[in-house]
Amino acid sequence: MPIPARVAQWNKVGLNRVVRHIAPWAPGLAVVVHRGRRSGRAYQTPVNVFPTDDGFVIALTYGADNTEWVKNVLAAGGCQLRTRGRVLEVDSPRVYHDATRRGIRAPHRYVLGLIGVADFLSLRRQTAHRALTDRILNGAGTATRDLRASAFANDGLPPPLDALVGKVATTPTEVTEADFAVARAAGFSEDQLFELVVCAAVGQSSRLYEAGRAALARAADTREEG
Amino acid sequence: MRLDILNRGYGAGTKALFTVIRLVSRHPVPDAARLLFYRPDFYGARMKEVTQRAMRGPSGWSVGDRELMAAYVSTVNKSAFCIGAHTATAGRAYHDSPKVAAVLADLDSAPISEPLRATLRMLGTLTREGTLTAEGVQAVLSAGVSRQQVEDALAVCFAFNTTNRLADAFGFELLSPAGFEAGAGYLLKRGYR
Repeated sequence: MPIPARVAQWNKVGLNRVVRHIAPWAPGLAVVVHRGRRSGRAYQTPVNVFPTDDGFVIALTYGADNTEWVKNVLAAGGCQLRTRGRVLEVDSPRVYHDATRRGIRAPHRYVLGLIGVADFLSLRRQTAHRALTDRILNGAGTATRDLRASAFANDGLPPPLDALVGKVATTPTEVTEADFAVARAAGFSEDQLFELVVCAAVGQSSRLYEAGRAALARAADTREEG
Repeated sequence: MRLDILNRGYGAGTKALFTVIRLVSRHPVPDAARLLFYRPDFYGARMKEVTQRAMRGPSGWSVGDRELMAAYVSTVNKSAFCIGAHTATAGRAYHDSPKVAAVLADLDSAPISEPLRATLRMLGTLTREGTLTAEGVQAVLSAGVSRQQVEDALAVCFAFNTTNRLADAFGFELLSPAGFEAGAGYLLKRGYR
């Protein structure tokens, strides 16, 4: 652990109280707004942040293990970040170890090197696309999360939902009244069908989107090498 | 629409809003808009944000270019409602309906810039085939399109592949030409929020 536990404890009660007021706007600092995994209580933790292309990297100055706020962020799949006077939604948390501290600018890299910090947490700025997919898949709904996930993936749905969802994904102009009638007769409510059709449409379009972005990344890599 | 809740399942406030829109615009509220008002917390609120950013957010593409992409993707998907809506919107944004018609009739011979043509071709391939090769994107970058512009075009493609599917699955009712024109005027003035 790069910074000893006793210092961490002192920081928790003393230094953090001061930094908490500076961190929401000072460059290089941020406040992580997260919730206790069990208590559900809201917490604010000041951190060092380094901006990246699509989000932020946070230096885990007390190490990656046993840091309560990191566990909370990982469990929730994201958090809010208050930085430079703004409140940002971030997700895709990833803890990683990098002794070379790549992607951190020179003076900071040097300081982090002196205190032996090599553990980081990366977060991505939540895009409107991810906010949408996260809501329809993980938020409250009348259809179960399993059914919504299967509709999104167009995979593993029981009949007659598989026929309706399959058409929405691949041949939407062929959807008919009868497809809905059969699904209703099988006991699915209109709200459930609404949700599953939305999941099917967003799911298929997301696959196209990801395929396009992946091809772009490969094309851009080739260009940089060539 | 094919789900009764999408025709009738709105609260009093939303119904009142639909009435006001109908009185002011003298056109019924299009199904595309009604869908976004149905349980907006599930889909509509976030989809509006996705579409607004893609279609009106900062981009190297003009509003007309992006509306043309929407019309083109809708044409590849044969999604009648969206073809009508975005052909009208692109034509108005460009002040050039014949150009939009030419693109939708024959992309190769249409009088548009090569970067835009290459980008539309890429969106057509992705929408039709579900995949894209690195070489396919290379061709677009070589035509002078920036990486960010490709990203932006893919975001438009996402929004309209989603909306096309919902339009056809739920069975959006087509509007009259005057209705599509009125909708186009609204989308250019107010956007997708």
